[in-house]
Amino acid sequence: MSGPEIVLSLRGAGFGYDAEAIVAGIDLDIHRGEVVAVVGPNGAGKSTLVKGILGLTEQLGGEVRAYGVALDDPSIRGRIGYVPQRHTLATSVRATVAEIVAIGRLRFRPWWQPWRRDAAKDRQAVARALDLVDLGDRAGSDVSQLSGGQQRRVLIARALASQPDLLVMDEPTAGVDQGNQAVLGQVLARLASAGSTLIIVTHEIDALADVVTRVVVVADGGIAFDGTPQAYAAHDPHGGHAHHPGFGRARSVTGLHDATAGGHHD
Amino acid sequence: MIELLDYGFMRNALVASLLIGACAPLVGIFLVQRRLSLIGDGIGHVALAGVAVGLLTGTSPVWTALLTAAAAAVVIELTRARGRTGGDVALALMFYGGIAAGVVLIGRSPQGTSANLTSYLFGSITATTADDLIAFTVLTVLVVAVTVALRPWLFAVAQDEEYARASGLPVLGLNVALSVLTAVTVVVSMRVVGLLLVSALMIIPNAAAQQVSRSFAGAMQLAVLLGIIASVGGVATSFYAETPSGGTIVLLALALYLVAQVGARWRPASRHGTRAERHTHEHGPGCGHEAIPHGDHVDYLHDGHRHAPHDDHYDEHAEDHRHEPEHERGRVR
Repeated sequence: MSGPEIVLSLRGAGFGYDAEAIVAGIDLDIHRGEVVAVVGPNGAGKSTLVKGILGLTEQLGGEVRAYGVALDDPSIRGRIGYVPQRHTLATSVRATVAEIVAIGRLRFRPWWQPWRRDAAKDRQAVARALDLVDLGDRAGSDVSQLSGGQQRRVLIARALASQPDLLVMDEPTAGVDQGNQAVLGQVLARLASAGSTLIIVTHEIDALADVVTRVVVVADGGIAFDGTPQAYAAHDPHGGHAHHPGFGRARSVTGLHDATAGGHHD
Repeated sequence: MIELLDYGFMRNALVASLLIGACAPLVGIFLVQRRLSLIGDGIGHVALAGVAVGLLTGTSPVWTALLTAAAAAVVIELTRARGRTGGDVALALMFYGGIAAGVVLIGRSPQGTSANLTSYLFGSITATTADDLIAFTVLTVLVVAVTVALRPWLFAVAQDEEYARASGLPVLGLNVALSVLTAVTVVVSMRVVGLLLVSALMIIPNAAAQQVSRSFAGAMQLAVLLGIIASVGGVATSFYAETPSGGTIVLLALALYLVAQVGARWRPASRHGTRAERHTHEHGPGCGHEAIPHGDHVDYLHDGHRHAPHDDHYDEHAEDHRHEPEHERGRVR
């Protein structure tokens, strides 16, 4: 696993809530340019793990370093972009797509010096992020008027506007119709070919098959498989993971979501 | 109008109403966004205890109310941040304890007339003294400056707290800041609007602006304008109609809300206008987009959907409906 720079390194890391670990003993190195799919059954700890990387869940033991810096160092926060699992961006007040995406720019603007900003650069970055997700013509739209799939792309654009070195996405394609899923697939492919490092929690690995370079399976609070998509497929002749407890569940969950998304799985 | 300005107390009240008309909706939009529309009410309850302490000890009620309200604001945010069950009830205990203690203590104080109590609860145009006005002006300028400066961060946290936390923003600090800004606004408004009606001036102009605006920035500006109209207009009306100022201001704000709601429904052009994306491109014969005859006009196919020229903008038209409001990117409410 030598070669490209290690951007994220976990050694015996555990994460959870209220001092109770949900995942533990995680060893993982993510290299620059990798597109890692994190899969596994519901409740196995996928989201807990990636939210731990984002500092959203308690770190309970072990060591986590991003770009060589310990995770609790605030300087590292802005470098890790986050696309949360969310079905809508609308709150009880109106906001345009551009206003939401501009939130990603706050990382470059110290709040104690609010006047220090490069407005032109911010506008440019917002426009570029929206173009990347094919929403360039919707910048002025009220976000609550966009379809669910379009709102997902706004979430991605917000993360892109922060120009992260590492992008963590929680279920970017879940609950999105097939047309928008295809667009999302293209967006991710575009990011991957630009050399971005992506960690994607997903139930729909098939939708991302062209993009993913590595599959990590989280089951029973630990990593049950870590390898190439080819090895994962070979390991997994449609649910044949008898030696991994929880793996059968993983596939059944995948099958369920595939069925709702268009049913090309059995 | 000349007659109105002849009275010193009216000049004070009008300036105070201008200040709070601008300040209250500016802070209030973040409360609406965070679904905390009633928090100003709770802080107002606690502030009454502070007023009582001021009256009892012979110090200015404005400053004792300010200290009490700000302390309550910090406690409220810390309680909310802990997110434990029972937090909701804990806040209720604090709010009712505050107002009950306030009523009892004011009753015991030398100036504890029921007229005095009523003026603190519901506002009065004769209540703002020259000293109050100086304090209110300083505090309002401070609140407006801090709110405007922190606007992008307050917006980010209220929009998506989890994302804000993941990006390393000081979420708790910003939430406490908003809570304290709310407390100061409550105290600045208590003379003219009254502690029980302050929250309305923070929320209703925003509710009205949400009906017609499309962007956060636009809604915020409109809410401030409506807040000033309601507040200054309410004080002037209460002078001529001899009504209590707080209630008059709130009723005027509600009237503006109704106008905004009716206006939003009766402006079909703007409803369509919010639907079609804005573009600098002028559709016309030979513009490169496929032209499709559609009833009495021509639609242009734009990225797979139809644009119809309509005054200064383009409407989105569906395949088989003409001016059907709920199609394609239908507004989800």
